[in-house]
Amino acid sequence: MTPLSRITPATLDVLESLVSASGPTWGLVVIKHSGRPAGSVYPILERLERSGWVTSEWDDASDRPGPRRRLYELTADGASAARQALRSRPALGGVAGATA
Amino acid sequence: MSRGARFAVRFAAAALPAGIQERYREEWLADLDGAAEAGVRASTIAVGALLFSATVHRDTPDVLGMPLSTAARRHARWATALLSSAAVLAVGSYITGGFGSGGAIAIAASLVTGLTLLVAVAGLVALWRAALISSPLAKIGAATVTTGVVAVAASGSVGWFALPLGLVVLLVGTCIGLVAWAGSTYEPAAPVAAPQPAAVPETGRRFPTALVVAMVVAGTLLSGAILLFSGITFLLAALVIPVAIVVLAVLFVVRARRTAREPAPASAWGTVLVLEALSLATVAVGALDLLVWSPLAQAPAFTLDEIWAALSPADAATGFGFAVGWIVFWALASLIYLAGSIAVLGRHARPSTRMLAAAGLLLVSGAVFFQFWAGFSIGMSIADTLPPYTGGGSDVRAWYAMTGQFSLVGALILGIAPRPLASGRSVAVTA
Repeated sequence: MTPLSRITPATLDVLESLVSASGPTWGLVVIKHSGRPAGSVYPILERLERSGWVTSEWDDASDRPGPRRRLYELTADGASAARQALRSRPALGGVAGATA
Repeated sequence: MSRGARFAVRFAAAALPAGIQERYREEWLADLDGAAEAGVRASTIAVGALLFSATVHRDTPDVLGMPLSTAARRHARWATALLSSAAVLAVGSYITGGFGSGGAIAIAASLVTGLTLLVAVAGLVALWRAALISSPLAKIGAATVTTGVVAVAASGSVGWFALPLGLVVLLVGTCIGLVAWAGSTYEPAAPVAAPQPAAVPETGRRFPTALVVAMVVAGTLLSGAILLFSGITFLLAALVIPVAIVVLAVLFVVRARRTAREPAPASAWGTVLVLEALSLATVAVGALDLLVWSPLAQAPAFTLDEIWAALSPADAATGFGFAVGWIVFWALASLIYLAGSIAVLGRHARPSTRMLAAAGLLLVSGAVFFQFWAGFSIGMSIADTLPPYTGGGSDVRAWYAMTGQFSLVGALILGIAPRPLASGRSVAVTA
């Protein structure tokens, strides 16, 4: 896992949504729970995945017809780093530029 | 779910690099399907997909679906093919732009001018896409080449000095780029283990062959232009360059054998037969133009017999000799192409159709280019002997020249640009 060069308030909202989830979470649910637009959430999830904070997989367990849903889950290291970032959130005051 | 949102999502996915297209297309379509259930507007998903596609970090092996060095070389090959094509179209328009006084040919000529600009811009974009994921030396080369191209393009408005200056800068930039390019073929494997799908056709070993071919083309054209325009060695150039083109075409055919990958022999046979027919038609039309149409166009008040009778015996013999020499040479070249292709197709089940096509198109372009020079002697003689005492040629020659230019562009793209990646392939991003 590589540290993020910056953690924006939107990134913290996405991390919070993933931390509060009990397991692999559908990307659309992250959009809804984070309250952030998809235009913010999709790039954040991609960046988190590229940095090793998050993994994703297809929802192959469902019998639902049509395109498969993509499920996201924090890695062990990612979950630890996410909780640390969220704990420091009040101190940051939502200002971008901190390093995880 | 609106059709507009679905279209936007598909468009956004199609604009992504090959390595992640399928993954995000399916992910976003699933999000659209569930948007109403989750209480999220479909338009939000569509806008998100478009923004993601426009801003995603594209320079990682996972995203590209191949190692960075391979992606850089693919872009560099496109840049070489497109920029050399733009040069062919620009030089062709300069040499043959005076043909045709109006009508369809004038419209076509202006379209070619616009196309030249588009192709040059596309070539520079490909060049920078290669440079931005390559070494600092490659970036210096790209900047130098860009400066040279801009100087050449602007020479018409800035001043004549910009043309030679731009060409020198372009040559220097090309040399720097070639050094960076050659160096990249010896790069160690990318530190991040990237998926290497079977659909990526080339390997590091294949690439230098394309590089050598590109350098041979560039060297032949450059040295040929120097020989041609130096004046005193016109005859030498007129002999050396056609032979060089035929040799190059034979190399293409040989390379088609070495890189045999196409699984469709029927299409290869069809390609060869079509190009053989095109090549022979080029010789036939060129011969008619040399001996009949252009003389009649130059001296419209006379019959063909009167024109030939009016010329001095020496002029008639020289003009006729050049024309017959051109016909015999290119007819033989066409037959050599056919024989070589049959040999390749007969011995190998999976020849490279692209290389066979490139060889055929190269021959067509060579025949067209030298038809112009083969007709120079008879044209000068008629202009000196018969009214209205002017040069020029038939209207057919304008279309003929354009055919040659586009044949060479086709040969360059088929011979230098990489094969397209197979579509519809999925590359997992997760570990």
